[in-house]
This record gives sequence, structure tokens and C-alpha cells, in this order.
Amino acid sequence: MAPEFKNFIAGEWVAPASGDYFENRNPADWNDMIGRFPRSSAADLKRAIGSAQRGFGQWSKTPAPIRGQVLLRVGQLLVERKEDIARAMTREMGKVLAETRGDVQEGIDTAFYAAMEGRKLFGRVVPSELRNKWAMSYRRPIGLAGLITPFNFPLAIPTWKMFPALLCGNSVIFKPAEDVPHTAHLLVEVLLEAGLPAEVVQLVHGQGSVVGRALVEHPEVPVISFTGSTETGSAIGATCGKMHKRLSLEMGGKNAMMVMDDADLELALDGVLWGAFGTTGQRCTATSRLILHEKIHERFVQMLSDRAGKLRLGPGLDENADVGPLIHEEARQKDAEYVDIAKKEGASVAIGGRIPQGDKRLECGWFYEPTVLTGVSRACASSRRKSSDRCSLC
Amino acid sequence: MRVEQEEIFGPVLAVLKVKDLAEAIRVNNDVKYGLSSSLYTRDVNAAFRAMTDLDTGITYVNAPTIGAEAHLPFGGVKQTGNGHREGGWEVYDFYSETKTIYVDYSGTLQRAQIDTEL
Repeated sequence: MAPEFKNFIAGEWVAPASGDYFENRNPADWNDMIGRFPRSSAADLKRAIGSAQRGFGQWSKTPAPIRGQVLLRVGQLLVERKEDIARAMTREMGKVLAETRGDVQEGIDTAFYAAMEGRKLFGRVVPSELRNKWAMSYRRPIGLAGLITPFNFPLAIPTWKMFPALLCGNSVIFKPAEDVPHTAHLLVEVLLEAGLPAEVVQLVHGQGSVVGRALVEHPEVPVISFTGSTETGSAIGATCGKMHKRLSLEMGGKNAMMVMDDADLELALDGVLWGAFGTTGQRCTATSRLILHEKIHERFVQMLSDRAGKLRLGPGLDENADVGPLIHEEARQKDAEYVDIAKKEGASVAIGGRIPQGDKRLECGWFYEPTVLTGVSRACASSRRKSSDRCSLC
Repeated sequence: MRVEQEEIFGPVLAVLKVKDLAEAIRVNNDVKYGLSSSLYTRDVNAAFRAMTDLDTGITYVNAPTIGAEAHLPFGGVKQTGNGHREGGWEVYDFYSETKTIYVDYSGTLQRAQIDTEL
């Protein structure tokens, strides 16, 4: 029986009001169930907000250097637990161990950076236009920050949002992606052990369409930070705009690597393999376009196909694996669909483009072969145009 | 082609061919997103031109599009973001409210923009 996890609300680990749970499974082996996590409702969120308001009252009055010391201890605990958290993260998210260790390291770096900032959260004193008058500004906390985080960096992205929010004296309500609730649980454990007052952080698991939405729409949460799709970000932006909330959005990308004819091609090859296939292409900064100078195009595509074909797919906990699985079935279907679309539009598959066959280790995971599509031509940026239209830049 | 314009979020790389750096920059910029870009070259003039002309929140020279560090701002332009940054010093502006304070200890009414004599 897989363990049952809880929310952290009002200073204690509690079951969801509804009693409903969702399953968290290993994307490299869907028979491996990590645990059942709360499918929370607006009732759970309401309690969390009431508690976070009390937490804010206490934490916002704690001097910033003291807040920084708590974050220093958070960083130190993350150093001690780096390997354990990395392994748990690989099990629920899929990326290889080297990368989940890096993910934890990003959290450590962010904690130590925040700790330093506690002693230099500078304001300004400027000369007044008038005699015997001082003119100055300082920073003060805002209130409750609602943090909605994605699956691809289960620890790093929550820390990017949470540590600065806390250092500035806000309390936080943390709604992690449903795919990676276990890492979120481990992070909150670290915060509490480091001495963060219990009501300053609230962990509410569940669906974005329920808990995330309720968080965005709640009038007592003046700050929202979201990383995810452009479509969801737009909807959040509309709500936050109407409610005059402060909102940070981090959304989609279509990142290109350009290789000129004078480049060090071996260096560029290492770069594109890491940029395109690291994290199984699931970073928001992943290299998804390779723009090659025509003089080196043919040679570089050959070099790339040779090396990409040698990347070892495997469960991320296998130290020999280079590329882990995708996060879930829909992600793999989406990849396959895009490869089909590309072929119909006239592109060629230089390598990959398939679900791997014949390897028993990969049969129960959401694996997809690293794929290079050549002969891709430019379309106009506007999807309103028909494919037959020519772009003025083409 | 859609595979050249739309985010797939998987291990699928679309390869395009261009004549020169200027075309590479146009192709890079001709998408609705603007998070990260990367240029491999040994030409310092080309690198600096690209650093300014690539319409993304982050540009790497002779390194891939991934690899952000915690102490520099992270974020994108166009449909990638809404102008805020994570990481670095900028995120501390996002999570704090600026309060402005004036203290007049002259004991008289001093009118800003009016009592401006030397």
C-alpha cells in the first residue's frame, strides 16, 4: 500500500477536507506508485489562507537578517539531503540523477543567495529638494504570496519563488504541480526543520483548475507567481489584472541555438545534445530549434544524428542513462503528434521519432526517442496565416 | 511549419538552414515566444551583434540555451512572460512593496516645487 501524504495547513499535516486523493506514479515505471496525495478543495485553501495571514503577521515583523538566517539553515539542510531529495525527485519526475542533483543544487544556491540578501535588502536615502528634510524609501513585505509551480524543476522553481518571497517577509501558499508533490512535501519538511514559523508556509496539493484557480481568485492573496503554459498564464493574468494583483508569469519558449560556419562544431554538438535532450527536452529553456549556417548544415546534421543515436534512454535512477522518460502519457502523445505533423508538412526524421521498442526496461515508462527533424522550413509567426501564405521575411 | 513555431516540450529538435547571421537572427525572432537563445561563433563582432539583436530574455554565447544561475535574472519577452524576472536581485523587487517616506524637520511648511529659492 503506497503511503498517504497530507497537506501542511495551519501548522500541521492534515488530510484534505474532502477525503479525496490522487495517485503519484513513477513516469519510468507506471507500476511504481510513490504515494497518494490530497486532492484539495477550496475549503482546504480557505483554512490555509486564514493561517497564512497569522503567519504573515509574525514573519513580516521578523527582521530581514533573521529571516535570512532561517534561509541559510534551509540551504544547509538541502546540502545534507541533496542525494535523498534527488533520488525522490527522479522517481516521481523522471529526469536523470545528475539533473535532479543539479535541481537541488539550484535550490541550495537560491537559499544561500536569499540568506545574503537578508542583510542587504536595501532601501534608499536621496537628497531632498528642500532644507532640513529627508527623502527615502524602504522595502516592506506585501502579504500572502500564492505560488503555482510546474513539474519540470520540482525543487528549483519552487525555491526561486518561495525563498525570495519569504526573505522579503511574505507568507506563502504553495501549490505544486500534481506530477511532483513528493518533492514539494520534502521541501516543506526542510523549511520547518530549519525553523521557519509553521504558519508562514502552507502546502496545498491538488489540481490547478481547483486549488490553483481558487488561489488566484482569492482577494486575500495579493501576489501570484506562476510558471507553466502560456494559455493558463493568460487566464491567470486576466483575473489578476481585474483584481489588481501583482503577478509574475514564466511561460512558454521556442528556444533556438544558432551555429555559424566559423563555430567550434564539437563544442556546439555537445551544447545541442545537452540543450535539446537534457531533461528530455522538458525545460522551458530547452533547445527546440537548431538554426544552422548553410555551409556547415549537412556536416553538423550528420554529427548530431550520430551522437543523438548513441544517447542511452533509461530510468533516471540508472546512472548509465542519459535521457529519462517524459512526464506522462499525454506528453508522449503530444511529441508523437508533432512528429506526424512535421512529416506531413514535409520535414524528415533524421533520427528518433518513435517510442522505443524491444527494451524491457523501457516498456512501462513514458519514453520517447531523442528526435531530430530536418528540412524544417519557416512559417510565419502568426498562426492566423494559411500555410500557403508567404512571410515577408522568408 | 508548426514544429518550428509551437512549443512541444519534449526531445524533438527542429533543424533549419540559413544563409548568414542576419537570417539566423530573423528566424530566431520570428516566433511568439522569447525566453532563451544561443549562438555558437568565434567572431566577436557577430557575438555582440547577436547579444543585442536576439529578442529573448536570455542569450548564451558558445553555450546551449539552458543553464541559468540563481543570482542573475531569469525570464522572457513577448508571450513568454509579463515583464517580471525570477532570480537575481530583480525578484526581490517583485516580492516587496516600496514605501516612500519624507521627514521634514524644518518646523515650517515647505512646499515642494514652489519654495525653490537658493
